[in-house]
Amino acid sequence: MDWWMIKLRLIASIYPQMLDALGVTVTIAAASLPLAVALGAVIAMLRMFAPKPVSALLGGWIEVMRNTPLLLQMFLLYFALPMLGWRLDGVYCGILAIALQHSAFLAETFRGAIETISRRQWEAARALGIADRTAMWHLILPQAAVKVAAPIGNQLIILVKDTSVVSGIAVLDLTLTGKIILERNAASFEVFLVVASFYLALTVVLGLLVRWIENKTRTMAG
Amino acid sequence: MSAMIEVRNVVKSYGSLEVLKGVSFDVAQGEVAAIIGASGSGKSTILRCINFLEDFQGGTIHVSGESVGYDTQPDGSRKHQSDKTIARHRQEVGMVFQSFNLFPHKTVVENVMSGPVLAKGMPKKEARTIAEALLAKVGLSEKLDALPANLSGGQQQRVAIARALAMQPKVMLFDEVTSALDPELVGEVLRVIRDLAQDGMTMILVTHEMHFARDVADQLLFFDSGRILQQGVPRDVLDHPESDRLKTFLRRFSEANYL
Amino acid sequence: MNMNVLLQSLPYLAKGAVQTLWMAILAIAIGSLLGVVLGLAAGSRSKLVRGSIDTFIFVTRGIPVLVLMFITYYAFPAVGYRVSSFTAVTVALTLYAAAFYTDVMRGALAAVPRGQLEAARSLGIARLPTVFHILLPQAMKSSIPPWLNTSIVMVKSTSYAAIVGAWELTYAAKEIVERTLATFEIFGAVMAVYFIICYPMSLLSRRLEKRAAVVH
Repeated sequence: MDWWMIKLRLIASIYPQMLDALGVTVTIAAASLPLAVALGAVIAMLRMFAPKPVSALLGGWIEVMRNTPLLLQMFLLYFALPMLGWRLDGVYCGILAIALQHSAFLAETFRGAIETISRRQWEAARALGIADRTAMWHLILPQAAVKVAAPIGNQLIILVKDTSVVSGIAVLDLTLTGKIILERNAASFEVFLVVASFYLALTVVLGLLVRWIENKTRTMAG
Repeated sequence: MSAMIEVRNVVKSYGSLEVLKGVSFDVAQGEVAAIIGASGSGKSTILRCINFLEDFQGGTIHVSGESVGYDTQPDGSRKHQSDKTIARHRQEVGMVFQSFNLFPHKTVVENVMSGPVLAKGMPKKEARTIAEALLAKVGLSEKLDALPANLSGGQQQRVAIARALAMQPKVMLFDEVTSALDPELVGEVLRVIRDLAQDGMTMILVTHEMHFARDVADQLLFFDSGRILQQGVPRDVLDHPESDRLKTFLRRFSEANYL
Repeated sequence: MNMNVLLQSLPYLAKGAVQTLWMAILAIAIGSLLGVVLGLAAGSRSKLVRGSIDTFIFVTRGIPVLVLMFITYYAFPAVGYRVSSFTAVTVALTLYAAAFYTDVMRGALAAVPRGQLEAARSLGIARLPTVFHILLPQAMKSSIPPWLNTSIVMVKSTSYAAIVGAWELTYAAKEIVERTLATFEIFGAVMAVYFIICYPMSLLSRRLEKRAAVVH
């Protein structure tokens, strides 16, 4: 009984700090997702329509971003940029690194979505005498947007979990805050169960959102 | 110049595979032509050439007196037309596909409006009036705001017909429009096409519906390996096949239909 | 660029790379094994078994792998086991991998057409041989691309061990950078190592996915 009381008291005492940290985590996720989506869309379009060398270069960029660890990408921004005389706050490094890596994944998702829009949709538009550029904006991209809505949601879930990596560059997010509380109070690993429960709550809510989007978009995707 | 559609010696190949080996025929204003033939005979390809969804290597196609896809230079060589010219031409030719090809993210009425709005830049209000009238004509006034995914195949195909008609085309091309439909849904689509024929629309139908072709078409073309083997009044062609190929084709059909 | 630093650090980085590879190989190998076993068990008739597996996947996939690493790192001593940070981190990676592989396997098993089971039953093939000779081989084949993708995530995730304090490639890199300030050279070289491991896996995965798409 005593043991439980101690644990509960500990958990209650760390709540305010954890809520601050939750704010940091959510801010980083909320800032990096739109960046990643926008950047991913631009990369996808350039990959498809820019001249060959540009497209190939971006292809290489995507591969590097996808096949190297996020932590190292963050380290490069955090430790290497200052050497070029450009110092970025840890939070911004985190946001930028997460946005960059996720934009590479999203770019490929977007390109795939546009390419899977059937050739027949283009033909139907052409048969009506609609110019290809008009068809792209009004008929193909909206369909691709519907198709990528759920994948973007899934990417957001991964992204929220990836924000924990900012604790590697000294940003006081949920994970690093948990570690500091634990070490300062000589508390035990239960602190991390609390940390985990925060992340779980976030991903559960987002998971429900994704399922809602999936249901919403299913009939529209055709 | 009297023919609405004039096809002359059209040759088309994919690499070394010749799919059209010099095809010629005319369709007069208000006339309905039906094309029959086995798959791979080139019957769908010629429709796609008339709308220039496919290019072709030789011959000419004229619709309403205008050359399709290519202009013949004074020295006799062919010059590819500009995208703008081709798009304008396509606006005058309505096409309906086997697989409907409706835009899945747009409602029924938006699908029908898409041509006038996106190709001609017509104001939405005006386009909507046209679309609603056409949907009434094909019997889908109830479904204006439904999404294509919530319609039956027959309903989707009728929307596709209305969508093509919204461009007020001079000619309609139907590419096996009932082949993907369940048998009980074929009738409603054929009824719409029959009404169009009675209204005097110039049409070419690629079809497997022999009875329908016999009833509605003014001329019947039998395609075989990229050539027209026989053409004429449907009754003559179907009742007096001149070639073994057509006999075999028709026999296979009646067997399949009356099994 | 200070290539001398890089050259001098190579042996140390190589040691780190070996440690990273061990972590990844152990996590992927044991995780895959667990994934197949749990994936099969997920088809069990027992609600308790299915529920436990669901919960395991749900919780493990719902939190960052880094948090899972911290949990094992602090939990082992808390329950009285003294283990190395390497072990703690590798256990976390293994559990994480197992959750993903189980999900992959479960999906792949469910995707084997029902007709296959019915055909086996109508031939009088018993339950176990059906699973091992008919169900599993088909499911394994279709699960290779997602298995590869998960494995890439696992290789990249080993770098988070550096945050927890387990010594491996990224940790070694950070040590050298702090000492020499050769940021670009060292981090660049280390990224290249991860890339050399991960890129062939993504290429293979994409090729297999494409082939599967053509077949269907």
